[in-house]
Amino acid sequence: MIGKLRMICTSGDKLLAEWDTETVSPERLKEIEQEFNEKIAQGWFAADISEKKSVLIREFDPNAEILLIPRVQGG
Amino acid sequence: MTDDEHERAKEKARQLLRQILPESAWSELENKGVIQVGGKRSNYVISPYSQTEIRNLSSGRLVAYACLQLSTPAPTYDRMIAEYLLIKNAEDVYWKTASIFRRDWNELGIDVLFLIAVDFALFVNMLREVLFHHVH
Repeated sequence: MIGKLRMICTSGDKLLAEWDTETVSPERLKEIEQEFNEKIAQGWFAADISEKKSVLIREFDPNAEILLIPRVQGG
Repeated sequence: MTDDEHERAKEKARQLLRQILPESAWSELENKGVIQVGGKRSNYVISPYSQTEIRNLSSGRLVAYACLQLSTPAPTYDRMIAEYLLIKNAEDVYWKTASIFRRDWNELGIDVLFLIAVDFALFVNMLREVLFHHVH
């Protein structure tokens, strides 16, 4: 299974990391989790978009395809 | 950003939205140009090109418009993704975050509007009588 960390940006979205959940090293996963946590700390929110789940998450899930979404505000 | 880059970004965001939406919602977007999301508080009509309509759960009547923006510039379909995910998962947060422009007048029935008009006419008439009486 392939896990992904993507983020919305000016050019649509960007793939920050992609990993094989069976073979990824714990160190690499730690790095990706840190990147995830930094964005969450900055006010971004995250959703698990694997298989159209579309649920918001607060914790990093190594088995998910995660989309990071920038802070939102009223227009 | 050049026009080409802008179009590429827009298409990429559109495909991401497609990946996230259920098939029925994607078809609706393709056919009607909007997606409808049912919440616990209201129903929502999200459009790529205009503010989100908030509709009464039972009557379907338009009660407000909502405006939500991403804090970084991104294609409009990305804003739709954010709105869809928030409404689906955290509707109260959506209400607290988005700018909501209520359409209270639309909620009044024609009978109430008629009574308001009659009351206003009676008030103007009374004012006219008082002033006329005062002058003479």
